Amino acid sequence: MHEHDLDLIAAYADGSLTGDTSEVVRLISSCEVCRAEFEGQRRVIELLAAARPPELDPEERRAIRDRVWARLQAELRTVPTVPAARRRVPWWLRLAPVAAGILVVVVGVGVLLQSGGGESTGVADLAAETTPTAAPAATVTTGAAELATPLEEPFGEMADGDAIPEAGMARAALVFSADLGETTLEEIERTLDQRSEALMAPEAPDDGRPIPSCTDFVEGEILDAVTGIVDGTPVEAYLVDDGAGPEIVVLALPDCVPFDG
Amino acid sequence: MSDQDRALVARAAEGDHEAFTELMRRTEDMVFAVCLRMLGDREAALDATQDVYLTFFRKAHTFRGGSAFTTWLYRVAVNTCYDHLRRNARRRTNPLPEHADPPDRAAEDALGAVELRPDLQHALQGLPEEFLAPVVLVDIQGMSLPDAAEVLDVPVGTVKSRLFRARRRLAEAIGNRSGPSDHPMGGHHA
Repeated sequence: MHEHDLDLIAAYADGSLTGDTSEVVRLISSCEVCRAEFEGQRRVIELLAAARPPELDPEERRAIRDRVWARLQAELRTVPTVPAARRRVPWWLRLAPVAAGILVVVVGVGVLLQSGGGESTGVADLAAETTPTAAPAATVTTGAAELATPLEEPFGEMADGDAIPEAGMARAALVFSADLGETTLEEIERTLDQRSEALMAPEAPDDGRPIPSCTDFVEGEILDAVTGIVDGTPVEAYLVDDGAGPEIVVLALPDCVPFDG
Repeated sequence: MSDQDRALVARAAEGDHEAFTELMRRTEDMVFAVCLRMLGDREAALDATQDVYLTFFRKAHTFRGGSAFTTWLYRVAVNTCYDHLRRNARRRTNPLPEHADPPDRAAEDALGAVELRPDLQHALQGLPEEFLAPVVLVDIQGMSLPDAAEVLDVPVGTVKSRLFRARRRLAEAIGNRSGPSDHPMGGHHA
């Protein structure tokens, strides 16, 4: 007997065999092995189907809910979900033109830091908003493939058009890889420590305005912060509370004075 | 996934306790049942159920609604159980009995396997991973073959093939059918 025959018998046993079944019936009635296969399959199906679904008792139900809720709340305090409505451009960006490209990256729930290296993988949820000019802010969400692409344009040369968010995202992805895990400022700090290099002094705007502090770009109360320099660009992660709950905001800004504590 | 479900998941992931409770209430027995049948141990199933929901809510923002809400949750549950099985390697140190044991109420209680014969639950734990999930989803949870195929991300034919082989092994394990050694594939028709 072939494996194919056994599968036909098994399909007949669970009712999934379609078409002419006469050959299978003949096999079962004339072949001991076939009959045993049929009876074994039927018996297992019946026993499994008859098993009453297990249920959680009230104490177990409560314990699971409490533990899951507590863990989620703890993570929300560290890296909360950032709904689209809260991904906003700082107020000053909406009011004044900016000479250089500015990227604000808000990292959503479960951002897992890349341990190092020059490539990014598994980016699941990074969102960027940028206003290279006084134009309305654009929100860009992009996938892992785009973000894993090495940046070709220097970050500081983001000047106009749609290329800016993508270029900024690519740069951010060289530093951070978002996946479904947990991220803390300590993890960000470790990554920055691995990737950081000497700071290149930012260039002052041509119009004589002072070089802004990177913290000027953060809305809300800064609860904690870590910073580093990657590819000449200050990369700063802040735990901020803007009144809607703490969240981690990551900035990659080419023309500001890095946060110094 | 309906818009209502998606909104509920999103609200829960953002810290809405009411939405969280509603989602848990709707699905926790189903998730626990899958975990218990796959892991065969109540404590392990409770831990796995907790992990399923942590993963579920962490990943909520990545779900694009391409499949049903329950399909997605089942997939998370199966993958979580696979992780637990690999981590504990329980099945490698827990060989199948050679002969079926009679149903034992005390053993059932200890196992948490309500009305599922202990020898059959034990045999389930002896199945290879790729055979275990199809049996749990289709034969125990009553899922359709296409739905199980979507959960497991394999063709329907693959699910059927694995089911047939899994049931064959289970039948052998509980003594309802002689094993291949007694009936070689090259056997003859009586």
